[in-house]
Order: sequence, then C-alpha cells, then structure tokens
Amino acid sequence: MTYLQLVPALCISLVGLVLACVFRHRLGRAAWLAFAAFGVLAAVYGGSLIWLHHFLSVNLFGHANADEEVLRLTALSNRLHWWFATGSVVGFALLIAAVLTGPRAGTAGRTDDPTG
Amino acid sequence: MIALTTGGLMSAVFWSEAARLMWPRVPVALVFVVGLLVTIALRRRLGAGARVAIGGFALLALAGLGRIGWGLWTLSLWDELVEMTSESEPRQSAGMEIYHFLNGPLDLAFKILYLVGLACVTAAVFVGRKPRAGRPS
Repeated sequence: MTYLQLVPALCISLVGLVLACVFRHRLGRAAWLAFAAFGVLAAVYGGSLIWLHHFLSVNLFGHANADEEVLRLTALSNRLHWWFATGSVVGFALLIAAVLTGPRAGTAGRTDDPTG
Repeated sequence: MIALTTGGLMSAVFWSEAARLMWPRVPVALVFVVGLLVTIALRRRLGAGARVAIGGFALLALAGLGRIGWGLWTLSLWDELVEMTSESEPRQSAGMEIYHFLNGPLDLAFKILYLVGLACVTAAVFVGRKPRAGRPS
C-alpha cells in the first residue's frame, strides 16, 4: 500500500527534475531551486522506497539473535524516518521558493497578455 | 474526535506513541500550510501559476494534516482497546467499527490527495506568470 504513494511520487519528482533540465533557460533563476527541490524530493522518495523494500524483505525466521535484530531494525527505521522527514521539509521549502521565483516573465509559454 | 477528549488523551502511552509515530509527519505538514499561506499572500505576483500552486499546497496540507488527525484518532482507539482487553469482557466499540470501515478508503484518499497536490505544485513551477506592468516583454 505504501508503494502506491512512493512510486508515483518518485516518478513526479523525476519528471520535475527532467522538466527543470529541459526548461532551465526559461526558468532562469528558479532553475537551480527547481533542480535542488526535485533532486532532494527524488532522493527522499527513492531512499524511502529502497528502505521499505529492504525492511519488508528481511527474513528473521531461524535468525540466531532475532530479538536484537528487530530492535536494531526498529531503531534504524526511526532514525531513517527522521532523515526522510527532514529531507521532505528541505525539499518542499525549496519547491515553495522555486514556485515563488517562477519562470522569467515574458519568456513563459503561457501568458496572460492577449496581445502577446 | 470524541475519543480524544475522553479517555485516550490522558494516557502516557498515547502521548509516547503519538510522539514516535506522528511527530515526524508534523514539520512537513507545517511546510505545506506555510506554502499555502505564502502562495495565497503572493497570488498577484504569481499570476497564472497562482491557482495551480494554491490548489496544490491546499491538497498537500489537507493530506498531511488529515493523516495526522486520523493517526491521532486511531491511536486513541488503540489506547482504548488496550484498556478494554485488560478488563474481563472485551467488546467491539463503535470507534473500532468506524476505524475498520474507514481506514482503507481514507488512507487511499490521503495518498491520492498528496500525489495530486505534488503534481500541481510541480506544474506550478513551470507555469508562466503575468508580465509585470510597465515592463516591456
């Protein structure tokens, strides 16, 4: 069920990264903010996905120190969740900055000026 | 929210679990709210991208805060359940029935809201804005 959020979110941030690359001239100053924002978000979603996959595939059946291993994995999971939460905060803060900076006026493909 | 105000809120287990499970979600939900407020405040400056950005941050904030609220309510139920099983006769409360009925659909709804919000905010970065008045374009 969690994959259902992480995989599309990773795809969206990767699409954002590619679009930021393609439209870097049009974006002007916002390009670097967009690069950083989508890069951090893609790293967070990708990291969460890799960790989740690893966590779900751990098989402790017949493990000598199963209890210790569970404690170790839980502690690591809590620590990683904090890193992912921090990454999300940084990524979305950069995204807010990128939205506010926006593409250069006048070079946008869509303009509100009917006279062009 | 009734369970929050009666039993669950007072227990130490509730608060320790809430801190462990819900606290990591709080900062990013606050960032969504800040994003929503800032885009609303600067909507004139954003021009054509404003509506997409405001919609996107509103959906993200709804998903983030909704999930925290639902998580806290679920935790208060869990607390209630622990108390119940320690008594002689366990019984199914109305809260647990609501939880079993709504948990799956709500979880899916929060995920969809989050993804649509993320897509909107991503689009808002690339949407053109109104050229500033008095400046030749």
